[in-house]
Amino acid sequence: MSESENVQSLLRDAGLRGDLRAVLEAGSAHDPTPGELAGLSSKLAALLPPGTLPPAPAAPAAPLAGGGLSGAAKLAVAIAVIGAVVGAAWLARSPDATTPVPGATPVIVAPPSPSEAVTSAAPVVTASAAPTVIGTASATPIVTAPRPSSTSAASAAPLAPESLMISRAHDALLQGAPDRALALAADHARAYPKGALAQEREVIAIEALVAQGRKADGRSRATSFRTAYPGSAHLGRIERLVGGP
Amino acid sequence: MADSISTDVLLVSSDPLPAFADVYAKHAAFVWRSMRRLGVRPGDIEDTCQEVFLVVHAKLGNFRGGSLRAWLFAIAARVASDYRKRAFVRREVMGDDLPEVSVPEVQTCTIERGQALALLDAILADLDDDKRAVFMLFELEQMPMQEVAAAVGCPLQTAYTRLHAARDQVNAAIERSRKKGERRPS
Repeated sequence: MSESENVQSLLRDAGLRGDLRAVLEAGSAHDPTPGELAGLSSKLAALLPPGTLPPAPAAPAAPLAGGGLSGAAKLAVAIAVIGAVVGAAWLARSPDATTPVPGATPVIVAPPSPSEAVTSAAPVVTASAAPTVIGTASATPIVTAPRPSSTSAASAAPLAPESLMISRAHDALLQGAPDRALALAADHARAYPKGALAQEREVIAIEALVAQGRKADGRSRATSFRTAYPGSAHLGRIERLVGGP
Repeated sequence: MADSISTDVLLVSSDPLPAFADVYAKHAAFVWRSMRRLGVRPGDIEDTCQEVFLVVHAKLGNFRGGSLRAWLFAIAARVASDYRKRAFVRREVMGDDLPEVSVPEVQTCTIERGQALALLDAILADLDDDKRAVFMLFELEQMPMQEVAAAVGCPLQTAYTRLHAARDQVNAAIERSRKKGERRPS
């Protein structure tokens, strides 16, 4: 065995220089925001074949609250609904949403499985919609939905107040207004206690509490979050937010 | 290659394949962080993550066990590499333009987080691909080195060699930045 196989990561070194520690800790805790993950989810939901994820029920709000769903199923349902209603709004928020992306020869993404019934409310964007390629030959070539076209199916749907509430709460956080973010999260909790974006709401609320200096409250809310969403993609971020003393 | 990796994220070939939704739920944040550290500009991270997960969706059936994170990172690294090769997104060589750590050494533990992140991004951009991958996975993601070696596709000892070289560069960059901050008139 080599001596170097006993090497520990720098962050485990109690004697690590402060400036290096600050840099590494900042980097290790830099997770995507709930809004960023929601944006990614909405795009993926629009591109993946139906059946890849459990289909969303026809009536979104009440069935989404189903407590019997697994974490993954809840995520999938949320993805599908977010893809249907949030995609256009979120893409519109992107500062470079119309940036063209040059690419190589377009290749079509795996088509939807014909064996799967199309019951999802989420739009599926196919290669026929003038795809833009962002991959190249060394990786599996992938066709992404062109940004304007990827919103075409969703743009017909009215924006959900739920997604707008979360979006505003997230904006408030980014603007350094945790009080307002918390108030908007509370508004959302009252309006959509078990909404599709409940996880995102809770992460925003926890981050706002921490930003207010109410770490104990944030920790308490984080504990409830872990219980409610044990498989959540946000757990790492939450632990980093409230984990330290 | 490290064939006997022992972490709780390993799957053996007899295990059922993970569902895509589960992979996404558990690893979306990891992929996002990886893309950012691999030099993808903030405005392009969503697109490149999307590309990664579309590859994952297409290839998940071919996953043959081992570290799922390592497998995901290998895909992410290829996508990021292709991204960086495009001339219009190629990052400038940072050289002496590292952000300053403009506080006295005794106070460096209070560096603003944003400043620290900017410095880290600059340092990572200065590392070559091999060293950057090992450094970010081992030091920032706290991955076991065997898993890191699997992720970057090199022998274990090579991964350690890259780590030591990366640490030297990172320390030098931090020191350069600190001295630059000290020279700056207050």
